[in-house]
Amino acid sequence: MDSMKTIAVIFGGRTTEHDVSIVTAIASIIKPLEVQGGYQIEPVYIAKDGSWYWDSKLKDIATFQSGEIEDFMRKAPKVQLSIDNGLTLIKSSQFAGRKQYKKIDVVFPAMHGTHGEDGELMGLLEMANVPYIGCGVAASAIAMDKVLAKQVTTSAGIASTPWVWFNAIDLERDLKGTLATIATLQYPLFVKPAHLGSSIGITKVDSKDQLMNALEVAIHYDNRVIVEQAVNNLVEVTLPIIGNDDPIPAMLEQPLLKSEDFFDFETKYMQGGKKGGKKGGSSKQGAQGYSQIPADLPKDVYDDAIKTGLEVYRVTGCAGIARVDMLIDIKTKKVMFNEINPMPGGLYSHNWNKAGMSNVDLVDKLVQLAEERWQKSQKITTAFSTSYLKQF
Amino acid sequence: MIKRIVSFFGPSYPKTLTYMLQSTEYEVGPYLAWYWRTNNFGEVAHRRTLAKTLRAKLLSAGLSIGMLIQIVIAIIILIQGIKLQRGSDIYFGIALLLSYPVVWAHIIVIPLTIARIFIVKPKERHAVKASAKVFEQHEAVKIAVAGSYGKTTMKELLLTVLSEGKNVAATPANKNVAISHAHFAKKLSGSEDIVIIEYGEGAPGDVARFAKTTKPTIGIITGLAPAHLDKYKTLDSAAKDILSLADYLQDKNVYINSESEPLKKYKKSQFHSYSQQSVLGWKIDNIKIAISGMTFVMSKDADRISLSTNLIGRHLIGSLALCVALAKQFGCSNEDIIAGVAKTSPFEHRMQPREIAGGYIIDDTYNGNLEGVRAGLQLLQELTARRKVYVTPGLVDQGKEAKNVHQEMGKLIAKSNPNKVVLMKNSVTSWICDGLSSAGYTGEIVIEKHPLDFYTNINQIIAAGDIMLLQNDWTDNYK
Amino acid sequence: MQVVVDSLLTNYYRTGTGKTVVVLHGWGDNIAGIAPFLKSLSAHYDVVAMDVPGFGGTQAPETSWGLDEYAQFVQSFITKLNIKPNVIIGHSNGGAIAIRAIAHGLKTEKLVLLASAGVRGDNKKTIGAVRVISKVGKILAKPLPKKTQRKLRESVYSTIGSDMLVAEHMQETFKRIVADDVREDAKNITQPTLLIYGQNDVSTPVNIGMALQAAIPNSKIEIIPDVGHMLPTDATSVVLGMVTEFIK
Repeated sequence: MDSMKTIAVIFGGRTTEHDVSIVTAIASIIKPLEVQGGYQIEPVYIAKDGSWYWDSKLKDIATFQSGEIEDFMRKAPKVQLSIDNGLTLIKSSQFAGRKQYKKIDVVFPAMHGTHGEDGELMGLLEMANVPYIGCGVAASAIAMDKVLAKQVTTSAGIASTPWVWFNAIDLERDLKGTLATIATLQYPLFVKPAHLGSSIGITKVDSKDQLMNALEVAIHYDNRVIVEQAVNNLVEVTLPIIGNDDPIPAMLEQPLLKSEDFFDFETKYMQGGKKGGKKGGSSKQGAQGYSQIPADLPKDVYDDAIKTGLEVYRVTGCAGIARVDMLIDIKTKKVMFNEINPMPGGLYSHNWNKAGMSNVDLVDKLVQLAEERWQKSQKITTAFSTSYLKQF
Repeated sequence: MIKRIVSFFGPSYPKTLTYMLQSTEYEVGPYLAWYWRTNNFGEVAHRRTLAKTLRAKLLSAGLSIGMLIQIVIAIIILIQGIKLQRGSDIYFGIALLLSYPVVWAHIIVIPLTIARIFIVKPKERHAVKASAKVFEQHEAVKIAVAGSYGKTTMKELLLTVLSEGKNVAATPANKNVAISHAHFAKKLSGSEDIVIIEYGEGAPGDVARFAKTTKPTIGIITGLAPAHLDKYKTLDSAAKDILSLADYLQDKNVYINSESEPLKKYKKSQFHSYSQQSVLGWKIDNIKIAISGMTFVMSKDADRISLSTNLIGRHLIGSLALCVALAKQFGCSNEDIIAGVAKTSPFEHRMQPREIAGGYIIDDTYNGNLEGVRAGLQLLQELTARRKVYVTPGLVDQGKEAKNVHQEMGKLIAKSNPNKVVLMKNSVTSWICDGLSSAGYTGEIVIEKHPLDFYTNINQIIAAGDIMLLQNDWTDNYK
Repeated sequence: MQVVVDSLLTNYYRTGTGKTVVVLHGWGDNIAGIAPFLKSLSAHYDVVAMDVPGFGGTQAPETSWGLDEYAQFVQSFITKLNIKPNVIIGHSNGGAIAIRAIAHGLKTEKLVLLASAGVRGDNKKTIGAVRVISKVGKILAKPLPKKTQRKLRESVYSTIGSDMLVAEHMQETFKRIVADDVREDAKNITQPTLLIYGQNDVSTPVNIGMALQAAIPNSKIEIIPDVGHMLPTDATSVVLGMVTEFIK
C-alpha cells in the first residue's frame, strides 16, 4: 500500500456551489481514481462554515444525502494541516490523544465557486509546495473574475461582445457617469456580478427602464459589475480543455438551453429555482443531456472556436483543466470569448467520454499533468543565497 | 481457516446454503461438492444473490428453524450438564452447539432427495407421457433444434422470421428438457402451422428420448463442441447423442451447420448443410458487419433478397440464411421474410451491443463454449474501433479438457489481437495466459481480482472509440 | 428574474400580455410549485408572480415578520416594478397577505382568493397543542442524535400537518402569522372579490371561506367539489375558468 500515491480530494466549501462540488468530487473524481486502483484517496470536506474534515466516510455520497454528515461533523475532529515543504493532514484519532498523520502526494481540488475555485485554495497549496490538479493561483483568480478575464483576453486580441465594467461604489458616487458608460452599448444587455458563476445574479435587460433594477441586483451580489451587449444570432458553445504547455481540447459542446433563457418554465426554472433559488448548480450539472456533442456547426466555425478556446486557455495561464465558454454570431461567424471555468462541474467527463477519454483515463491524466507541472516548477530558481544578512 | 470457521456462524449462513442449493439446481452431488470446497461462506454469493422463490424461502426458513432448534437443545443439555456437573453432557452440549452449521448443511439434503424420488420424478414421467400424445396428433411442421451450442438462438431466429407469415409456437427461453417440452405441449392450441422444439442435452440418450416424445418432422443440428463432458465423457458420445435426432428422422429433412468443424465427420450425404456461404441452393454474399447490425444478400436463380438484421456476428449469418430458406419453402413472401429478419435483434447477454459513456460493450456473457469464443473474437476482429478490449473469466464445465480448451482460447484471443485482454482471476487464468504468450500476444493483459467491481465500473474505463467484448459468465459454484 | 425590493433580493416571474395579474403563493410554496397554473394564466394575462420573502428564490427577512410586513413588501414590489395590477390572486397565506395589503391601500381592481387563510381562532386550540407538543418533544429528543431528531420532527409534523417544517428558518414568522386574523381588514375591501375553496380542504376549510365572504361586502364564493387545499395545482383548469370569467 505504501507505494501507492496518496491523493487528497478537497471539496465542499463556503460557496453557493457547495453541493455541486460534493457531487463532482465523489462521482467524477474519487470514483474513477478508486477504480484506477493505483491511488490511495483521502477525501477532505470543507463544510459550509469553512471547517475542514477528513475521513473515509466522506467518500460516500450517502453520508451527505442521508443527513448523517451533521452527526459526523459534531463528533469528528477537525483537520489540521502541516506545511513542511509538502502537505500533511493531521487529526486526533478516537484513541485518546494519539494523532493520525497522512502525507499527501497530490491534491485534487474539486471546488466550485468562491473560496476554492478562485485561487484561494491554490495559494495555500503553492505555499505547501504540493502538486495539485488544475489552474494555478493567477489563472484561477482571472477565470473567476469576469472583468479580469475579459481584460486579459481582450488585451491578447481575443474578441468579446462589447462590454463595460464598474465598481459598486462608482454607481453610488457617479450614477450619471456610470450610466453614460453603459449607454455606449446597444440593448439588449446582460448585467452580471463579476465574481459569481453560472447564472446567479445575471439579468437580461431589454430597455433602459429595466436597467436600474438589474444593476441593483448585480451589486446586491458583488462589488464589481460587468455589463455586456447581447450577441445576435447567438450560438453558445463550451470547450473543455486539459493540459499544461500543450493543451488538448475535448469536443466543442453546444448547450441546448441558452443561459439567458431564464424564463423557460419547464426547464431551467423548475430545476434551478426549486431549491431556494440557487440556480448556480443547474447550468454546471445540467449540461449533460441538454447539450449537443459535438456542436453542430460549420467546420470553419467549429475549428475557429477550438482555436479561440485554446488561445484563451493559453493567455489566461490555465493549466491542468478548464472549460472555456464562447458566444458565436452564427451569421457573421464571429467567435467571442465569454467565460472561463477553472473547475468544470463533473470535470465535464461526459464530454471527454465522447472525445474518447474514459473517466479513469481523465483523472489519471490530470494527476500526471499536476505532477509534471510541479516538477517543472521545482527547477525554476526561486531562492538565492545572498550575503544580504551578513552585510546588514 | 479462522475466516471459514467464523463464516459458519454468520447470520447469513442459512441463506448462503439456500443460494448454493439454488445455484446447483437442487442437485445433491454438485451442492455437496461445492460445500466441501468452500473456504469462506461469507464470500460465496459475491457475484449474484439469491432469487427469492417460494422453494428458496421455505428451505431458508427450514434451515434457520432447524438450526435454532439444535442450538436450543444444545443449550438445554449444556445447562443441565453444568447443573448436574456431568462432564459428558457438557461435552455433548458443546459439540451439539458447535456442529449445527455442518449438521444442517447435510440434513437439508434428505428432504430434497426424498421429494425428488417420490414426488417430482413420477409426476414428470406422467406429464411427459401425456405430451407425447399431443405431439403425435399435432399436424404442424415440427422442427427440432439440437446441438452443443447455438440452439436457443436458432430457435428464436426461426420464431421471429417465420412468425411474420405463419402461426408459430416455440419452446420458451431455454426450457429444453423433457418436462419443459411437456409443459409446452399443454399450451399448444393445435392450430399452429409450425412448432419449434429445442433439445437440451445433458446426458447420453437425452436427445433420442426427446425425439421419441416430440416426433419432429425437421431436424436442425447447430453445432458440436465439448460441452457437458462431465456426463458425456467424450466428444464422440456427445455427437452420437445429438445425431440421434437424425437417426429418428431417418436422415431426411436434417439441416446441419457446416461451419462446426467437429460436426463435419458425422455429416451424412442425405443431410442438408447451411453456412454463411450457402443453404439449399441459395448463395449468400455482400455481408456487411457493424456494431449496429449486419446486412447481406441472398440469391437463388432470379430471386434476390436484401436483408438486414440488428444481430451482430458473422456466425449468425448461416442460421439466418437457413431461416430464410425454410421460410421460402413454407411459402412465406419475400416482404414477410425481409420484415421478419429485420426484427431479429440480439438476445439478452448474447452478442448484445450497448452504448456506455460513448463507447460500446458487446455483452456475450451468456456464451459458454469455445465456439462462441471463436465467434466473438472473430466479430471483435472484424469491427473497427480505436481500442478493442476482450474480457473473460474463461469457460466453465470443461472437464478434463479445461487446460487444452483454455490454452486454445488464449491462442484465439491472440489471433483476434485486441489491444487489451482482461481476465477474471481464477483457476484457468494461467492456461489462457499460456495460450496468449505461446501465440505471441503483445497487447496489454490485466488480471482482475474483483470481477464484480470490474463489471460494475465499466462506465469508468470506457469511452468513445472503445469496443469491449464481454464473454462467458462464471457462476459462483465454479472456482 | 430578480429585483431588489426593500433590500431583499426578490425572485419573480413575469410573462404574458393583457391585464396585469399579480399572484401570491401560499406558505411553504413558491413560484415553481404553482408553475403550471401561472403558465395557463399567462395565456390570457400579463402574469407577475413573486417568491414571497423566505420562500423560493427570495431572501428571507432578517427579523421575524407578520402579515403587516408582508403586505408592505408586496406594495414595495409593485411600486418597484412600476406595475398597476388589475387583479391580485392570493393562494392560502398569499390570500391573507393580499387582504391585509389591500386594506392598507394597495391598489387593484379585483381580488381573487384561492383557499385563502386569515381566519383564526377556531384553530387556536390546535395551535396551542402543537406548541406544547413541540416544546416537550424538543426536550425529550435532546439526547438523541441530530439525524434521529430531525427524522422524528419530520414524522411528528407530517402527522399533524404543520407547515412549520417547510420553512424551518421562519418559525417565528409562522407563529406571528397564524395568530393574525384578517376579518377586520376584509370588511374594508371594496373591490369585487371572488373566493374559491376546495370542498375537501382541511387546512383552510370551507367555513373559513364563508367567514371571509361574509366579511367582504362585494364578494361571492365558489366551492369546488372533490378537491383539497392545493387549488392551483389540483384544480388548475376549473380555477382558471372561474378566474377568467370573473375578470372579464
